[in-house]
Amino acid sequence: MISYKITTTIIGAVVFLIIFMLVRRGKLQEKFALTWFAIGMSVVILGLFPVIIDRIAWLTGITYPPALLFAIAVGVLLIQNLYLFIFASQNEVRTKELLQQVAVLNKLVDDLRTRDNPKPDHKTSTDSSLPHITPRK
Amino acid sequence: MRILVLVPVYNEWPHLLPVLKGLRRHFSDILVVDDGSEDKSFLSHLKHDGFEYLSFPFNLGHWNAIQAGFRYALKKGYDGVITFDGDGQHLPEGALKMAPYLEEGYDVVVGNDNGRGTLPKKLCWKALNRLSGLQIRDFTSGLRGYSRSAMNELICGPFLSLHYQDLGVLFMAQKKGLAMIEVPTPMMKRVSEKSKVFPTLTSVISYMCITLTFILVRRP
Repeated sequence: MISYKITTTIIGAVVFLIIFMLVRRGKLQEKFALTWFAIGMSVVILGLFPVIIDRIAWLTGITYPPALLFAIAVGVLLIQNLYLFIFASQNEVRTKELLQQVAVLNKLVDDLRTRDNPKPDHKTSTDSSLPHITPRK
Repeated sequence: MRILVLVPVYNEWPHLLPVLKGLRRHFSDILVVDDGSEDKSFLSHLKHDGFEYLSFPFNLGHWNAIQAGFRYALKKGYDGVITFDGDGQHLPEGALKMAPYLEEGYDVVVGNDNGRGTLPKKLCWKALNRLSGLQIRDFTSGLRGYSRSAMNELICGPFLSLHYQDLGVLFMAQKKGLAMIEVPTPMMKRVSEKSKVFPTLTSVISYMCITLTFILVRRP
């Protein structure tokens, strides 16, 4: 039987590598990558030296060390998840505001065009050189 | 006083043109806001009949369409806005009743209709009303008037995360200290059979929960 340390080290290394590759390919933005790197590093370190967990558990008075590990893991995931939800809400509000402004600006641009061009009904044919902004059929 | 009538539209355009033509007899400035309707062909009908419109590429929600209208009205320098449903439920006479109150200096004018809604719905509304501490009874009404200062407040911050023009809007308006009044207005039965805000029971329940959280979190 091999030492359990080898298993934990391999798991830690694989997690770290996945995160590293994702950042390298630009799938993960740097500002998110930072926390994920920290998570990856701690997985590797804890994989190499599982004794650390035992020590911290002993210091904090926890009799069953794996419980401490799970508590930390759940805590970290919870915070990450919460952060994502905040980010999503923020993005939705921003998208809405931008879309509202785009709709208004589209209308104002259209108004200016019809004012400059006195034949609004034949507009589409004469304005083909301009970029088409308003969706219409 | 220059007033713009806002008509938000989402996939209900068969009823729209008669409503707009009725409105045009009383109001000179009308703006249709297309809230990402799937069939965009009615926009060319609007254009042909000389109606102004804004258009979203995808659906944002009733309240967000109205906010876009606010932005337009502010840019164009209107003094007030009246929101009007495009499904034939509101009457132009009702909108006419709102205008004097805006001129009088009220920031938010709500046109109410007491004959609406089923009994369980009314009970729900009553409960929400009690919780929010609002003086306004018919807060789901889409017939409303807003002053310029109200519009300036209502296009930013927490108002952007709202979906419907309802209790949440009024609740926040009250917190901001805007002067509100409720005006009785006659309304028609809806021409299209279904409510666009509450098509199913699940949507009613989810609406109740969202509104409840919104109020409870922000209660003074």
